[in-house]
Amino acid sequence: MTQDTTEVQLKRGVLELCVLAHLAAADNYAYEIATFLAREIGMGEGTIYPLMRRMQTDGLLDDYLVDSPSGPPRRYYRLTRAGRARLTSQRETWAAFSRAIDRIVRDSK
Amino acid sequence: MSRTEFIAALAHRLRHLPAGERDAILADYQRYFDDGAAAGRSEQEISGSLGSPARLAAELSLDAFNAVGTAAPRSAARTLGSLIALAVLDGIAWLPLVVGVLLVLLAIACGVVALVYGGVTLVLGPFDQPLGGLAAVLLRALALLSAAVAAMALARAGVLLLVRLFVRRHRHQRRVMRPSTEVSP
Repeated sequence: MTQDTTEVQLKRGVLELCVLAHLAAADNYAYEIATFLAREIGMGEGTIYPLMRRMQTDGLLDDYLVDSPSGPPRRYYRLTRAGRARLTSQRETWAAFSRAIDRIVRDSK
Repeated sequence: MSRTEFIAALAHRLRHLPAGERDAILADYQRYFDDGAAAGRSEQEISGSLGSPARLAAELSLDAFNAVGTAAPRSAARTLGSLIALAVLDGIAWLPLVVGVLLVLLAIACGVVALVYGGVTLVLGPFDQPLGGLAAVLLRALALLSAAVAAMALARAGVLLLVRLFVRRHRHQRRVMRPSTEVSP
């Protein structure tokens, strides 16, 4: 496995957590979410709508339209109750996991 | 690719989705281009970062299928098409998919053979000094035709099952990081 695919695998695992955490702060629309995730963890922007739809299918998000002075209305996404519950459990999982990995990697020096 | 080309390509490939759903998706992408333009990016830049419309359409179609849970009868073949498009574009899950598709094709082939043979038996059998009499030949023909219908139904159920299993298994494993740089020509 090349370094590149390892990195992709790691990021893929936490993508959902990143979306949940980002939306927990404030509701947001696709362009902002996509460029944020592209900037922070290198997600492909094209992934955004399939990802949002998948998370909606899973009941983690829902959406509402907000009229815009220019162009079509913006679709805002927000966490559902299930989304908040998922965030809480994934946040704990991530904290424990990253502490463990940090320890393992630090001890290897 | 310009904005117009991107939207047209996406619309063309999503034409089999229900109109309401397709329009919602296209409006979202129009909005995306508007937001990108407001941030000072060119159409080419935005469409490049979104990746291939073919890949997006395949993924959105499969998710739509999965969200609805049951497919309309006509959509089974199209859904299989989306699945294959995604497998080709992403190079994932080749072997199980190929085996599944071959089994489905085999079921369809058996169905066609039985259908043709049953039809021929039904039409020509009675005039060809039937073995065991007229009633027996008609029964044989009916049995073959029923077998054909069963094989076709099996093939269709197979397609739906195949897609559902595939989507469930791979929904979190698809290439989500920078697909534009990975799959665009």
